Amino acid sequence: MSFHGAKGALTPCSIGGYDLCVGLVEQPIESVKGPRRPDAGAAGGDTALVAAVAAGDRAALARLYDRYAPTLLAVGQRILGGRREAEDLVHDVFLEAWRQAASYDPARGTVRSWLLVRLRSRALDRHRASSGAPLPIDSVPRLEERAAGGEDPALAPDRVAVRRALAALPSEQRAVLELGYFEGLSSSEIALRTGAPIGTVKSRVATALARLRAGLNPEGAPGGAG
Amino acid sequence: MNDHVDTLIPELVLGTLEDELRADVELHLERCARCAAEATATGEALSLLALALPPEHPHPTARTRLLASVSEQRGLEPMGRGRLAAFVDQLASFFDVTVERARTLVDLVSDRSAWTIGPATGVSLIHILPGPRFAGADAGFVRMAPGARFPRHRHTGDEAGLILEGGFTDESGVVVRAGERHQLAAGTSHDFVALPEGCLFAALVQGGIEFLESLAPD
Repeated sequence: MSFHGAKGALTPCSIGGYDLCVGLVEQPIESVKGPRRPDAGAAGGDTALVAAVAAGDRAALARLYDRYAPTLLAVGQRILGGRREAEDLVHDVFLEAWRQAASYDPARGTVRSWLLVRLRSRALDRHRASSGAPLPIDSVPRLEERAAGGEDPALAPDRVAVRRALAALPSEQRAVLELGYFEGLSSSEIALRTGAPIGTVKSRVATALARLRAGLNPEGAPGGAG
Repeated sequence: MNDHVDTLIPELVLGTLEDELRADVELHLERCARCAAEATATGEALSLLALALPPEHPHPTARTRLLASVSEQRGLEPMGRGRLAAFVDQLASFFDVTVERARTLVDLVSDRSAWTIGPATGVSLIHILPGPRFAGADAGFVRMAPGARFPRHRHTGDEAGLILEGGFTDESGVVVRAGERHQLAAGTSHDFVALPEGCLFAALVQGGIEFLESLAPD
């Protein structure tokens, strides 16, 4: 298969065999109903949790783990392919969070992104070190296999809002986000993979992120998911 | 790089930016609050991609394993020692002492009994002897409880600080965090407030300081 063939594989909502937005009707961002400011409910509580972790509170670490481990494990597994490896990675990230909780600064982002940045950079490092081989498609979870129960309800409205905002992106914009975020490809690698000129890749990245932000943080959005 | 870097922030945050440009952009972000805020907001939007994946629930034993390993860690390490080990080399040059001496200083910081009461509520101190380059300077460690304020004072000589844990907010609103240094020239005066997580820093004061306010507690 040529790179151009690979480009053809980047159909809407499907990168690397994984469907990010199956079952969602394509809709313009403007019609996304009531997505609250992401994490608005969880953010304040998260900051207090991390402060407690910094003070050596294991129960606070346990609560942080219950809230974010499922999200971190999903990303780790998406990047690395293997569940075992991904579980080890999540363990390491929470150990790091335990040690470095005092360095968390809410002005520099939410606890969710603080954890995810750590997880993603470690996962991509390991992925590149191991082989860089494409993910075995069968090992990648699909959206329809929703985990039953146990999910922190504070995150559920965000999940819906994100899936809608992603579904509203043109497929080529969604593709650059996924190739960059989950595969760790550079702009030039994405250009090679998709057959698009590098300048086009760069502008897609910018547009996709701007639209994602606009879709998730609409001015004056009411609280609560619609 | 004086121009704003808006057009490069999406690629920086996504990690697709080429290495040569990355260093320039990161340097700019350190100096430009506007672009730093833009990068934070973009990073937040990007991290939401993670929520598009169906959550994967770890095996219950993974949770048990994590909690067991953190209790072991706390049991083995005196408070702060593990975190501070990373600063040994920097402390050696900061105080002009050998690496071995810097290591013993780190142990000293971890020893609760080494601390003496400082000039204000929530502030404690350890005085140490610096190396020959700073002979005569007032050197040591300052620990500030969360939210504690270091009273307003003037420096009669240059002052340098190396933040080891947490951080503080200067009167101008500038936040100085773990791993960063601050430098104040002779004749300047300031006060500062520890971040909510508190602050531990190494300090080197040449000449001394004069407090500009009453130090009587409450």
